Amino acid sequence: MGITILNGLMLASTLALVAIGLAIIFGLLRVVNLAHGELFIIGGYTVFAVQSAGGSVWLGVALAPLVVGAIGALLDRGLLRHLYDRPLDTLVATWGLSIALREILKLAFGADTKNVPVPLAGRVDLFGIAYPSYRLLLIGASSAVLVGVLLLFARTPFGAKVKAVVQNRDMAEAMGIDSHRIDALVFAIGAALAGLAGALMAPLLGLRAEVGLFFLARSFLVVIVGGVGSLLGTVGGAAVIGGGEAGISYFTRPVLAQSLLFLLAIVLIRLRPQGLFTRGEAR
Amino acid sequence: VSRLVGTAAFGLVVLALAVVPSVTGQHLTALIGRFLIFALLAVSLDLLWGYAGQLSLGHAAFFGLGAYAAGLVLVGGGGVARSALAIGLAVTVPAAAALVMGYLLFRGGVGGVYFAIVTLLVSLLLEQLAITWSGFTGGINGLFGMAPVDLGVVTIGSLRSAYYLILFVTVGAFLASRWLTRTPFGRALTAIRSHEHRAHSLGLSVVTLKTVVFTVSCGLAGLAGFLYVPLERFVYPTQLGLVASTSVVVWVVIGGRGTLVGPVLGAVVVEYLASALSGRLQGYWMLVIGLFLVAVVMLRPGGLYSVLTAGWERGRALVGAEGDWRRA
Repeated sequence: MGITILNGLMLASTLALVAIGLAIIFGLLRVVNLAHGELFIIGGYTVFAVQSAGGSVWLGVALAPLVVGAIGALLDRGLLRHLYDRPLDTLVATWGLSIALREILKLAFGADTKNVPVPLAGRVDLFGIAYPSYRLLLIGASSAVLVGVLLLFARTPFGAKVKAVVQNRDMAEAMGIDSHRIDALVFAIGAALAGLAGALMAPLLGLRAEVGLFFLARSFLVVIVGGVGSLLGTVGGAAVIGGGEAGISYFTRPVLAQSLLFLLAIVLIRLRPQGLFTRGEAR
Repeated sequence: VSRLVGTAAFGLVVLALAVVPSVTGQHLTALIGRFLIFALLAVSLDLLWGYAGQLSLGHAAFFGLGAYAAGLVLVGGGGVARSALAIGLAVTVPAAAALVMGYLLFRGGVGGVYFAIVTLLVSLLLEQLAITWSGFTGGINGLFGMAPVDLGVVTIGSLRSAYYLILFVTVGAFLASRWLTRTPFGRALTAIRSHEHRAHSLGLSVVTLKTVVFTVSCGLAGLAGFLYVPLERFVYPTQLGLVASTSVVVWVVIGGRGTLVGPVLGAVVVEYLASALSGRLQGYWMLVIGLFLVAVVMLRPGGLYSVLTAGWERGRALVGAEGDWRRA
């Protein structure tokens, strides 16, 4: 039982890290990025590439957010900003990108499963449970990054500028804020968080191009359940979905657990359209 | 005049399709039969997306539900009663699923991008469930050994009879869909697509309309799924999944949304190219599809249909100018 709680905590914190990138891009830019799962898995592949080139896993983890953030900024500037006023078309375009990125990954790394070694071996004794140290590190690192992100958007001048652009783009421009630069930065931050999550999770996953899709699906559940537009809500949503998945998986198979959670989420949308953790009008 | 041309062209195409089994071999007949099923599936998504503006990224899930419903009934044996049940369930199971989902989501105010994501998840999960729940669905191997569909007057036992069943149903469903888009119901859907709040304030019950069109669309998708059973004698999990769902979106985008004819063309062109080129392109085919999807959405949102009609208008303008000159 104790180990289920710890696993739930790990799943929830890493899920929050993937989902918050999605929530930032969605909530602030109104772009539904269906390629988010691929950005996540590119983070994982970055670690694999660095590690097979002789570098350490930690170097890979450090590089992944930079690589994926740069890819995100490029995608935003090159493609997506032309579609900001057509939400459904953005969806289709990012879906096309998701397919294309997946195929590029398969061509670059092969279609078979790649593995990254766990960089931190050993177990830590925690309330009488021997829990793997790396998993514990994941919980700590994800939580720290999440707090940092929340503070970045809530407490810094950059966060204030982002809010200004979201509320009134023209007025923000008139005040001297370069709104396109903000867009690109927000997109890059969202992508970088996906890349970091993928890099941190890489040692626990078998790396395959398709894995990203499952994290995309879960992240969306998290964002919808948590409520759009609230980053804190996303963290709460991750706790519900991640904790729920770990809890139900304790009793039954993971696929059934995911399906049950999905059904619950749909009913939840009917009952609380604005999400569990936000107040305000329905979308 | 253009209406007459349209009717004549439609008649010619149906006539050409009707003689296919007599003039071509087994392989081509089966291939064209499959294209027709895909065309029906594309039309069903176009009703929902092109007309009502609700994108389903998981439409293959409803196609697959229809195929599995029919397959499961026919695995147990044939006969008129079972065949009728197979057809009935193939349409009503996906339609009922859509009705419940549509009610919960649209009443909850979930439309647009959220709806697209939820349908995507449906497709992803159903494929996994069909693989996992192997005692019922046959798992990764799928269902096979279905009895032939017995319609009373004919038994669909041969490729030839399956082809004619497909042609009959697809043409019928296409005409019915076209009629539907021209009724007040169809116009109300277009109103929702172009401006939902305005449609609501004009007194249209947006939630009901969206739920109904989703139900109809998924019923049609299930019908297409049923047609797959006599043609291929095989139902498998990937039919429900994301790759299949993506294909439907690709057909509709590339063909041209909200035109019915466009998605039909899109399905045929894309799937023909897939069967002709994917062997040679191997892993690059999906890459090409992905990039093409991005390119069409960015550069030519109207798709193939808008390219063709633009060409047609240009041609007519040329001929028209000539006619004026003669009259003068």
